Amino acid sequence: MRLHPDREKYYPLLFVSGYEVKSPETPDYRYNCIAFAADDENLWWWPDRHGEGYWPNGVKREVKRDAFIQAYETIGYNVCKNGEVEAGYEKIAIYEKDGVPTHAAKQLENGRWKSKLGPWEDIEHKTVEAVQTFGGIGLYGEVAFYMKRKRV
Amino acid sequence: MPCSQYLSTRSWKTRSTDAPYCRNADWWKNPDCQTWEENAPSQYIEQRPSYIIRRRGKNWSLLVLSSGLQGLTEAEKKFRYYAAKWKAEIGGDSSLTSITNNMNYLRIIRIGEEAIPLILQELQREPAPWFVALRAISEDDSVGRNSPGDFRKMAAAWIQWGKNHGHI
Repeated sequence: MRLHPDREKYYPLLFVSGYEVKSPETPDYRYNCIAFAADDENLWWWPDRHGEGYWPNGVKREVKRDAFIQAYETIGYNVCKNGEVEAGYEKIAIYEKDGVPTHAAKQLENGRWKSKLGPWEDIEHKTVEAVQTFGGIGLYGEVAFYMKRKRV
Repeated sequence: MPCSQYLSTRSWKTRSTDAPYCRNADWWKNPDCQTWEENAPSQYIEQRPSYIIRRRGKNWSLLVLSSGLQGLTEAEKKFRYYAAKWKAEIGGDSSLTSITNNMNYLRIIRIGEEAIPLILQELQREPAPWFVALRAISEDDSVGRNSPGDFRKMAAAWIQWGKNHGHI
């Protein structure tokens, strides 16, 4: 199943890269991509200065790369070199636009990636680049870094 | 006796204005000519309904739109307009920072106290990140602070607050 064209247009590489919708949208803003990559489908993770989003205790509420690294470190992830499949490890990719973190995707065992598109649907995409900005169109920018942890 | 005159390919407008010369003067006395549809060729009839239905469809939808705005206060109109634009613009964004910095969101805060019951109605319908706006307008920083990121709990807390303060 595909996204509605009104949504797909924000991800110009998605269709050509190949993807599939995996679960319906959550218009109640139950969780977002940052939470989804952390296997949390009950909270909206975000380090906003107003304190409305969930953010792990002890980690600075700043929309900066370091804060995101520290947040994922609290659940066992560490920065790694790339997004290639590594036996025994699960990986996440963090995207940035104009130097600001925007999105996170999680690698599946088969090498594909899964993403939650804000309050929209969860999708499974073949490549990590599929949700990146292309030709100035797109919300998430490019993959900035990867993190991994041992698969339980 | 059928009215064979209607077999002509004349256009719609000419049918009623200069019809006399294409049919005999006593056409109306003929029971077979009670209605033009009964005697017109089927090809002619088929064109007419499709033309009229399309026009009626357009008029009908316009009426619905105009009646939906009737009776709304200026604040309600503004709220509906900016809320719809806000939701459309934030789309698949995960960033609460962008979501609550969106210009339409800020304009809703600018509406002031009148926006509180409207936001609470939205929250009753569906949780969404309205909490910064509610805090900003109400100047109450204590509501829903125990469950950051859980928008369902935060919405429930604000709805309860709204009931306690007579907004709902």
